[in-house]
Order: sequence, then C-alpha cells, then structure tokens
Amino acid sequence: MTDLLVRLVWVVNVVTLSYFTILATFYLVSSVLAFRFLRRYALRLKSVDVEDLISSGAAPPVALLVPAHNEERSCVESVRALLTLNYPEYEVIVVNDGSTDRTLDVLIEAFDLVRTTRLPSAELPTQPIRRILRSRRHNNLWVVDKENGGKSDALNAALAICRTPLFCTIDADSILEPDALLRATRPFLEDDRVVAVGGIVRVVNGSAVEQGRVRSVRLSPRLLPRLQVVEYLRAFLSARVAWSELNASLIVSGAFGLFRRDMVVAAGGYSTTTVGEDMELIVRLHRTQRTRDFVPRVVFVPDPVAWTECPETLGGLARQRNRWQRGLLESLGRHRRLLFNPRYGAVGMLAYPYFLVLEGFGPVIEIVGYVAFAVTLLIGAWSPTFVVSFVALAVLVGIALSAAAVALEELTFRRYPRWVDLLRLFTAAIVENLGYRQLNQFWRLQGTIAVLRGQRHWGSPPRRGFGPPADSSA
Amino acid sequence: MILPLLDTRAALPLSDRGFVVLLVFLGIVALGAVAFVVASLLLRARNNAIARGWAAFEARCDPVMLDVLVGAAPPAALRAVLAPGDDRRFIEYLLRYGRRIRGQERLLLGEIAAPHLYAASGDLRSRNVERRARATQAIGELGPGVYRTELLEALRDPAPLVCMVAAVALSREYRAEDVLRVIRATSRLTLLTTRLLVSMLQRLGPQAAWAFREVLADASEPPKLRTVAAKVLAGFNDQEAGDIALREVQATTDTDLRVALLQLLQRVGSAEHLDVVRRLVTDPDAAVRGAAIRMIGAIGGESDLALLQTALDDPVSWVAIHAAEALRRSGRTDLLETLARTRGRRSSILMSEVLFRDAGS
Repeated sequence: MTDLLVRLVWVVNVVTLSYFTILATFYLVSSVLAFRFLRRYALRLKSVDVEDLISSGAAPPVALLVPAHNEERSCVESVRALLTLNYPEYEVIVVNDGSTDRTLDVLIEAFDLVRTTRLPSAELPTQPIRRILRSRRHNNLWVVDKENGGKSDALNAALAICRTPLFCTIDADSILEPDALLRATRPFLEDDRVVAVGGIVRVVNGSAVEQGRVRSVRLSPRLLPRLQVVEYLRAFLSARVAWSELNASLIVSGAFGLFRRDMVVAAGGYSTTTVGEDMELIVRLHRTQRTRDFVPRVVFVPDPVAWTECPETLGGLARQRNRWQRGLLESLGRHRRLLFNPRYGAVGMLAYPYFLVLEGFGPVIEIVGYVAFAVTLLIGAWSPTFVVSFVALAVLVGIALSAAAVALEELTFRRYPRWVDLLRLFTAAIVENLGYRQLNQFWRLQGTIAVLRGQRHWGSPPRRGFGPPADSSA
Repeated sequence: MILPLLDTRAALPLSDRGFVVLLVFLGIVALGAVAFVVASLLLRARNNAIARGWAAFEARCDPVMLDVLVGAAPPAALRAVLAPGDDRRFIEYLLRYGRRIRGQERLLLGEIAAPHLYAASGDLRSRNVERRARATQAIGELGPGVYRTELLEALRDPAPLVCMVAAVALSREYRAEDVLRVIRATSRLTLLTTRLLVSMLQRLGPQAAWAFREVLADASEPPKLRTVAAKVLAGFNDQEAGDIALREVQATTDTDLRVALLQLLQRVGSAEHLDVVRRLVTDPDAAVRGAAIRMIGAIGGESDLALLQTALDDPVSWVAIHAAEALRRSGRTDLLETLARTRGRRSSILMSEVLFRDAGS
C-alpha cells in the first residue's frame, strides 16, 4: 500500500513537472515568435497605406452582428458607438434574444425603430423570430426580435438576414475602437484565403468611457481586473499571434471577430449545442474547408481593438472561466478527428494536441499535481531540489511569461502610457502566479467536471456597465 | 500512517540528476523574467525619449513647413532647421504629411524631400522585405518622378509586398508608356482580393481605359486580372468596353470574370446587348443569373418585367433579391404592391422590404 502510494505520487510529480516544462517551453517559443511577428507587422503597417485604399472604395461592406440579452443598461450606448465607426459601408444587426428586461423598448425609443421585413439570404434554423425592425433615423440599423435561444442562436438569426460579404461579431457590452473595422478588414483584402480575422480584446475596467468611446486608458484600481489585463495580454499578444503565424488558430474571440459570410453559412452557421460557439466555429471551418482541399487562413491582427468589461468579482470570474473550459472541451470533443491527423496540417498535428493536453487536461494535471506535491511534502519524500524545481516551475515560469507579455505590449502598442500602470502590470504579473492562477485552474477543473456530467448552462458573469467604479480614485 | 511513509523517503527517486537540467532551465527562465522586466523599463524610457525627440523635431519643422506649403517661404528654408543626420527622420516626417495632403501641395512635398530621399533609397537593396517596402513607399510617395526607374524595378521584386507598394505608387500617376507594365505586374499579386486591386488601379484614371480594354480582350491574360480590368472599366463608365464585354461574356467560363463582365454591361451596356444577357438568366450558376438580372434591371424595359417577376421565384435568395431590386428601380410601385399581395410568402416579404426602403429613402 505504502509502496503503491509512493509510486503513484512519483508518477504524478513527473507528469506535473513535464506538463509545466512543456507549457513553459511553448509559451517561451510563442513569445519569441510573437516578438518576431509583431516587429514585422509594425514595419508592414508603416510600409503599406492600405487604410487609404480601403477608404477609397476597396472596403467590403460589413455587417456587425450584436446579440443582446437583458442589456437594457448598456445597449443604447453600445449601438450608438457602433453607428459612429469609421468605415465606409456597414450595417448593424442587433438581435434581442428574448430579453426579459426593457432591452427592446429602450432600443425602439432611442432609434425610432419600426416594423419591417427582410428576406433571409441563408437558411439557418433558429428560435422563432417575432419581428424585424429597422431604424427610421439610421438606415443601417436593424433589430431582430426573437425568442430566447442563446448567443449562437441569436448570431444565426442575424447571419440569416445578413447580406454583406463579411460580418463581424461583437458582444453588446463591448466597445469597438472607431478604426477597428478598417484595420480588421485589411487581412481579407491582402489574402484571398482568409476566412476569419480576430482582433485584440482589451480590458476596459478602470478606463474612462464617454458616449461609447474609450477616452483614456487606465488600469483598474481593483486587483482582479488588473490580473485579467495581464492574462489577456499573454493570451492575445503571445499565444494568438504565434498560432496565427503557424496558421493554426483555433479560436477567434466572440467578443470581436470578422468572418466571411459565405464560408460560415456553408459550414452551417454557429452551433447551438455548445457554450464555446466561437471556438467551435473556427475548428469547424478548418475541418470543413480542409476536407474540400482548401486551406483557410484564420488570422489574428493585434491592432484592431475591442474593449470589453471583465468580471470584477470572484463569482463572476469563476462562472466565466468555467464556461470557457466547457466550450473548449466541447469543441475539441466534437472534432476529435483532427487529433494528429496530417490532413489538417498544423491544426491537427500541433494546435489540436496542444489545446487538448495543455489547455483541456491542464487544470486536471495541475490540480492533481498540487495535491501530489502536498502529499510528497507530507510523507517527507522530498528533496530540496524537487521542491525548488516544482515551486519555480509553478510560479517563476508563470511570472517570466507574464512579464514577457507585458514587454510585448510595451514593444508594440503601449496602451498604458503611465509609468505607474506599467509597474502595476509587472506587479500583477507576479501576483497572478501566487494564488490567482491556481484558483483559475480550479474553476477550469470544475468546468471539466461539468462537461463530464453533461451540464450546459451559459454562466455569464454579471456586468456593471461602463461607468467609473465606485472606488475609482486612481 | 505517516511514520511508515517517512521510512520510504530514500526510495522516492525525486532528488537526483534530472533536476540539475531542470534547474539550469529554470535559471534561464529566471534570467529571462528579469530581462523582460528590465527590457520593458528601458523600452519605456527609450520610447518616451523618442516621443520627446519627435515632439521637438515637429515643433522645429511645423511652423516652417506651413510657411513653405502656403508659399510664404522657399523649400530651402526647411534645410535651415535640420541638423546633420536628420535626413531619415525628416523623410518620416514628410511621409506623415504626405498622407494628409493632395494636389499641388503634394508636388511641393516631393520638391522638399528630393535632397533627403537618398537616405531612404539606400534601403531599396535591403535584405529585409519590410525595409524594402518602406523604402519603396518613401520614394513612391515623395519622389515618384525622380525614382520612377527604381519603382518600375520594384514591380519585379521577389516579394509581393514590395511589388504591391510599387504598384500603388505607380498607379497614382498615368504614364502611357508604363501603364500596361503596371497593370500586368499586379497579376503577380495573386493573394490580393479583386476589390483591393481595383481600388489600386482605378487611380490611373479614365485615360488608362485603353490599356484595361487591351487586357480585358486578351484571353491569354489570367482571368483574375481580366476581372479586375472589367471592374475598373465599369468604374470608368467606359462605353467602348461594352462590345468587348458582350463578346467575352459568351467566350469565357470563369464565373468571377463573367459576373464582372455583366456588371460592366450593367454600367455601359445598351439595349442591343440585352438578347445575349437574357439568355443568361437561366444559367446554372446563380452568381451569373443574379448579375444578368441586375443588368436587365438597369438596361431593360417593360418587356422584361415578366422575366424579372419569374426571377422572384429563383431558388437562390440572392437572385430573387436582385430581381426585386430591379423591379423597384423600374418605378412600378403599383406592380410591387400587387405582387406583395398576390404571390407567395417569400415574394411578399421581399416586396414589403423593397417598398419599405422606398418609403424610407
């Protein structure tokens, strides 16, 4: 019995250390790749004035699809901001997804909406549509009022009546920068094979927002949003850039992504049976298009920005991470044919195994690893080298990677101009690894268990709107 | 339970050699973490210094620049405010200006830049693609006349990015002797969308229409380039291209090209072209059917109303939408209202939508 326990602990420790080492290696490599790409990208931005070409007639019309469920507090401001984007030809399709508050009423009042009709251009099954409305003040604003069916269902309802070659998904509580669409359409013009483009999603908490625009960028005075800023920087400026370089992106954030309508419609639209519809769609696009011998490109571009409000409470954050983990596992489970399948190139051979092992099983390995570490200490079967290695891998590597992400931000976009914010970001990069990261893994483990138990509720964190935080003094 | 476990300490193989390698790795990571932090702080300091330097440079140049642009001072006056070694920065400064001004002022900008452009042109032979592209952009924006030979050379650069930047620069000015070379060079840019190429080449202006007609009529040119030519000619409303379009729409099988030719006919076609186009409303390809319907809607007359009504029942929504739009443009609101009442649900939705648009506009 004792021998068995010792062997078990030994195996778990080896797996955990290997996991930490592989994860660290991946992130280090991706940071280097990202550094190379971001430098080249900055030079490329300088050398080609595509914005000039786009504004002179090359810009393809875009439809902004905005699902809204109980967004009465922020939807008018968000839609107003969307109607003032710097883009030659676009329309906004808001979907009121069976809201139980006054979302539809406030939209009708604010934009003088009247009932109309619109022939669907694609047949995508959705929950019944009650009516379609159009603004008398803004010719390019449409609202679809339908019965509640979830975010994917709402997106499908908008996609069905969308007639533009490109569409953009954006959350009702997100803010697009005025030139975000111009910047995000650029890859579509420069490469015929591009089917989806993701922009960077940044945390708005703490910044000053007026009339749907971010007027000055500041870090939130609260710790939790700051930690998420570092997380977002690492995820977008390091990991997503690297996957994009390898043409193996498996995710374009639902908070801000542009897609070719014909490709998405041909793939069947959004799946309504997963909570990770954004990732599932991308994996499906890879799968369906490569099956037809077309290698689609899914591109991440770091300069178009969508600002989003991140959860400020542990409960809200727990629900969000739990949902993200479920979405990840559901998407991967549904397309397991991709695993180590050379037909799908880097997607099948590299990205899928990475997401499955390091992101999908990661929380399980890590949490079990922490338990095994504690048992190892408890039974005294440890050496100083082991303890140092474990703690260093679990904490130090995380700090290094977060510091690298902050460095990439400083190298490229420098959205936080104050010295104090830069120093706070580095502090957050350290603090993140002392409890927050472990807590995150715990929530994700709960998500994994929920998938195994077949749970499918949405789990949205509560929103507080774009006003300043009550204790905002920084 | 714990006591017997403590005796197993020696048996647990966790304290030995593999960790040495791991510790070395961790040491590197630790150094990396410190390096990232230090690098970021230095970078911040450097960026702030650069920003201050730029602000000072602009403060020196802006007043003189404005005087030069309004004719209150000669271009040479700017040289007085430049320090030795400022050439590269000055070129960057002028490029920023170049994006904001047009016409005569832009020519003046070229004159101001001329003595300093050598600083950028050195990068035309750089091994770095982005540097070559940036240098090409600088000479294209600020010295397209002086550096025309280099720009034409850049069309043959192995990197499509450089070729694209050169083509953008050369498309700003029509020169009869180079125009075909510029147009044909864009066929190398296979990844660029038609839309972007059209936007780029349209800047050559209607005087270049003859060259686009030549490309359009030449079946040996790549279909994508001919598609671009057709779209550019449609943008020019080039009447002479109508007959070529009619001939080619019957000869080619490329869908994109056929659609572009029909769009060209929609702009410049005449009643004489309708017979051929009417046959295309039953084409197996929905994109061609839709383009044919649009062309007929633009050029056709009362005799085509029945054909448009039939197209309302096309199985592909897009064709039906084009037919409804065509009916709307015919101005027969009474007919639309009748159709909304008497036809199936789909046509009814479509007609109501079209009528709403009429009421709203």
